[in-house]
Amino acid sequence: MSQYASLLIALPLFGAFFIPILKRISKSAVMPFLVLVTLIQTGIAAWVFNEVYITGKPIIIMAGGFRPPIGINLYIGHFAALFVLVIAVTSLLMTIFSFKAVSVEPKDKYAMLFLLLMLGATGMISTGDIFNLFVFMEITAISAYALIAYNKTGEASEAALKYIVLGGIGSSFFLVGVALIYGSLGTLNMAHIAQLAHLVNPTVAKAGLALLIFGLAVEAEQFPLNAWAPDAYQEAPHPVTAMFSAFVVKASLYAMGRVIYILSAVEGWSSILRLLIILGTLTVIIGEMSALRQNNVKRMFAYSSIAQVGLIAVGLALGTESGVSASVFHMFNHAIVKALMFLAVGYVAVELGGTEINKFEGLGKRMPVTAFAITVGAISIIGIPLFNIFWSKMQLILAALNAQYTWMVALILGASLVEATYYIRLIHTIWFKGEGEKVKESSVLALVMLLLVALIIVIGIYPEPFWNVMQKAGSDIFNVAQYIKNVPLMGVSP
Amino acid sequence: MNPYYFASIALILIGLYAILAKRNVLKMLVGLSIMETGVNLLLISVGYVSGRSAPILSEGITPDRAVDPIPQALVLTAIVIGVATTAMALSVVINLYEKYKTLNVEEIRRLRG
Amino acid sequence: MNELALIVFAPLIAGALAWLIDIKGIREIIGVLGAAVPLGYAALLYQKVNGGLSFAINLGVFKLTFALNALNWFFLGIGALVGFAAILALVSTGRDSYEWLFALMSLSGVLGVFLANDLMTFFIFWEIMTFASFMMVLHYNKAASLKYFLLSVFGAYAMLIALGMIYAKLGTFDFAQIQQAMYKEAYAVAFKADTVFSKGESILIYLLFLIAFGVKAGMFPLHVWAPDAYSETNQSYAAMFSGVLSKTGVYGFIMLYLLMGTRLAIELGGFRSTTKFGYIIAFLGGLTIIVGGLLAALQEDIRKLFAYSSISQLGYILVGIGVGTALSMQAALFHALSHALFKGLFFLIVATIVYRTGKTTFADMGGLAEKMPFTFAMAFVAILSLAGIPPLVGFASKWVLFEAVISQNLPVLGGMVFFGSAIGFVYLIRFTYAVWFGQRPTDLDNVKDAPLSMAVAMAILALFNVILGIAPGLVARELNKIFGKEVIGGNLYVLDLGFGKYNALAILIYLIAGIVIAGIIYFMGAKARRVPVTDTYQSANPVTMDYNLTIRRNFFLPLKETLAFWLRISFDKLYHDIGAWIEDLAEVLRNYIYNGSVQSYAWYLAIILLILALWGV
Repeated sequence: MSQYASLLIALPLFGAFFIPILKRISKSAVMPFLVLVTLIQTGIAAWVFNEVYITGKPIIIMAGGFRPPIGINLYIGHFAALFVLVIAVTSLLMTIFSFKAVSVEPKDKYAMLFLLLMLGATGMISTGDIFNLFVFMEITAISAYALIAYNKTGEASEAALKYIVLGGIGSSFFLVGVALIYGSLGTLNMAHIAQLAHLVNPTVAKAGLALLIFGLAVEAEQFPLNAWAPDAYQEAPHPVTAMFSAFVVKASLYAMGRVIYILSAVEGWSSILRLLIILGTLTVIIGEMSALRQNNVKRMFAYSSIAQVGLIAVGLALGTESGVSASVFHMFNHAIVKALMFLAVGYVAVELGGTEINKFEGLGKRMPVTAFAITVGAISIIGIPLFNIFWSKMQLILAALNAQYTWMVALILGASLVEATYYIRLIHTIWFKGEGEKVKESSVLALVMLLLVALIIVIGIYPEPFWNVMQKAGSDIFNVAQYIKNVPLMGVSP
Repeated sequence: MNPYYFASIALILIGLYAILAKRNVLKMLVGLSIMETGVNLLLISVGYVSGRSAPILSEGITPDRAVDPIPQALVLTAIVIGVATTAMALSVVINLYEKYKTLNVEEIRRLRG
Repeated sequence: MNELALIVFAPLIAGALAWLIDIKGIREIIGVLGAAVPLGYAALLYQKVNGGLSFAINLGVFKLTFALNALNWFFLGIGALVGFAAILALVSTGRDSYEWLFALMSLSGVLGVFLANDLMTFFIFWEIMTFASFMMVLHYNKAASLKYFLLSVFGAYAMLIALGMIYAKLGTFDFAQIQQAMYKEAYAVAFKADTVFSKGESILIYLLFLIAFGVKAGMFPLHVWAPDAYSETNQSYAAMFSGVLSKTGVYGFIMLYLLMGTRLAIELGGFRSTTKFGYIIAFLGGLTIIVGGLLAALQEDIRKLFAYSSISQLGYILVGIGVGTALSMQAALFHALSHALFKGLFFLIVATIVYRTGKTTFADMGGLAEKMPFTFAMAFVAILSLAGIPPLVGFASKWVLFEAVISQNLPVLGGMVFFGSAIGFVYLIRFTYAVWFGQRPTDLDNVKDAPLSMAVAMAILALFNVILGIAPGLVARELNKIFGKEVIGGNLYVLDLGFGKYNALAILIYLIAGIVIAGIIYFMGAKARRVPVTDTYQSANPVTMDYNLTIRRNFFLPLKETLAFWLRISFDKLYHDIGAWIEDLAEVLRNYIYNGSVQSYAWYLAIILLILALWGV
């Protein structure tokens, strides 16, 4: 029964390659087909989520029936089950948005790349094999390159080129890291690596881990490896930007967390953590400061997203279970909020023809629902209580205090102050500046936005059930011993 | 130490040099490809055992006589990925050249700040 | 539904309804009802103050708990009363449903803060209140609201960190449990045993709370948001903003005393006749009095004048809290009440003036007493009360405060408090004359008196100013109940501190007798010529415009020139400069780092690789 979970990978893959055929039959069927696929994917993901959280056991899928470490396995534990659902739901919402937001032809290519992006992120989260992780990372990256350049403007190509060059360097070194790990351990299975980690030559392991982190950090937008990100976010089609911020970067962050903790037995591990904390801190500081005087709202949100990602990385690198859980919670909340905000900002761009700040003057009167959505999102990110991000920031603070990183509290505080500055300027511009004709807002998109707003507020008021889920997901990453136990390794005993 | 390691590291560094120093976008992409080749060579040499044959099960060649097959499988995958990346990059560059009329990276910087 | 839940949530629900329905007339009725519910229940609950009434909502991770006791009933009463008056006045001045929503939301927030029974609830409602009041300011002015919000977020996070530290060590947010743990800590310190919090940690928690509550109370040097925020919002709302919201800071300081006062006192030791940590609060309060008072005198805008005056008056309360004796605490609470009453009244008066004339500066005013007699009468009460003239409530509370400070032998604080009173006259005289008397600009000839809702709102507050002024024993009784012992003796009309006595009734009788005698003399004797207000002149001397010191323009210019050196040291400007500097730095950084060239970006990657290599990995 649980083998059906492999449809999570298979469905978008076959869906993507069915699109060229479908296009021959009927061109107008492509976008509805996209909705159908993401809808089914959401259904499967919901089923998987339910299955994993009810039984409390991960779903393990072995490719071709070979048991790991010979065969490649998918490991859908508590974290993967949660984020596969996030990915599917976000993708579904963004396909709906795509009807409105994507007007450039060829739409069939867009749909195909869209599914591949979703597939790549799903794969990165659910794979149990480090080389397979590389493959899915590249699938994600290559479809992302193509999607960024999709609008075919000069700027879009420029942004794509930047990502290609930086992503190429990153993935090359990731592969070097894989080679080093494989060379010293002779295995690529993550559980097996974790099992053998204490045997490995410390220098090689440290170098391997550092290179893996380096490669993933490029995708996970850690400063200063994130220089591609603001450009890419700004130029990508609006639904794609939302997907980047909501789950593509989260998949890389997850991979980073997973790789770190499976190699936690390695000597010099804590110095890698320290390095990551430094990078994450710099990411927060530089990201927030860069957002401060942006005239392009989409770019401002991109920098804000980068800063939040830095916070998540710091949480992952605290090295405690509460830190990881808080990070996962922040990932989840940030996914909701940023999906909402990029959706809203994209919709403004579609209706009013741009994302420069002057387009937002009088938005409160022109597009009230969209303006409301942006406002709620902004308030949530600043960290006002009774909105979801407050709780994850609070948990991050508690985790940092527990891990004796008192200064991190100052970091979160400073970041929130800066966020407050630029978001309040934006809110003021939206509601109290300028006038304009009312634009008829699409009721479907309004519904989507209000749904996300409702989710933000529900989590804000009732964080408990969500926090329970996050703790399980966090422990899935942190608790490596359990991870090893869960994977049925063939014929190897420690 | 295995000489292939040095060769592969040298290739990676040459590729990196091209990316860091060459102003022409195409040359940077060539550098990227060289780097990927270096990585692939490294992967292969990780599994290479001197004196053994290719991991093809045929007469007279048992698993203990062949080199480690997994890196080779990995490299095949990596090469495919590399090709895809390069193709993607080149198509982007074509579009860039049409829009910017230049291949100099110093002039391709409208997006900044 | 529990009474406490109704008190806390009724305004919020009413606000949401008013916002959703948004029909003029109906939304006003709903809003006023929403504000009347807490007032009504606060009155009803007077009987049940010590009945251990409590209420909890389980939100899973954290529980929201509320409980009623004598102390927070006192604050609840202040909040509900002044809040109701402000909401009533909003009927006239409210611009749209947006203001109804957030004004009522902030009322809910304040009442929630007062009734909270654990730190988390306290914090959440604190934030709701801050957020709603911020939205009220944002409606009028971006810069002012931003300043307010940044300082508030700063304070809020300071509180959050303190909360986190307490929770991490004690595992509870409950007030009673924290209090108990801290008492144990205090004993442990006294007997040199092991403590849960180290000395450094307890000082850090203290400083964090000092920042958090100091921001909200407008304590120097964290007061910079207050003048702008109070003046750049709906002035009816400002009555609540300044009268009630600032009291949450005061309440917070009292909670700080209750929770960890003993601990801090033993840990940090004493200073003169008080504790060291208390003296810091008191001294900052004293500075607040002086800075607020002086700046109030120099303002040309009525709203700003009262904003600074409000800050100055808050300083008194902080002094009372900081001195830390039972008497000074009572004095602080008493002054908190009278400050809410007269400052609320003042802002309503300002609201009426602004509503009717549309002007805010002294230069545009004059001679309004004739046109707005009712408002003038209200202003008369408010002025006497703030200036501390018996038999109004302002005198009673200030008197107790003076006595409390002097009896503790604290000359510096005493000097600051007296200075504050003197400067109070300085700015009040200006308000009294420049607005109500003198020559009236011709464009104010058709000004009408206050609209009904505002008149009622003002009358309510003025009534309390007078009643509690004549019968200060009413308040003293409640204060004694809070402390569980008789600190201020006397009866309904007499306050007896043991070393000093104040008989409000006697003074009232003398006052009436004096007025009667003066009236007799006035009517019998003098042949006064009636002078129309348009017939007054400044003096025989020619007045040049560059040194025009009429009461309406630059009246206190000499004072300003004397203080020129000190006025240049402005914390407001300092914060502003820091902000601007950070923004400039951010801009430079951003342009250098994200310079657009992919080759530079590749170099960043290479540098990180190099660092990794050098790190030895």
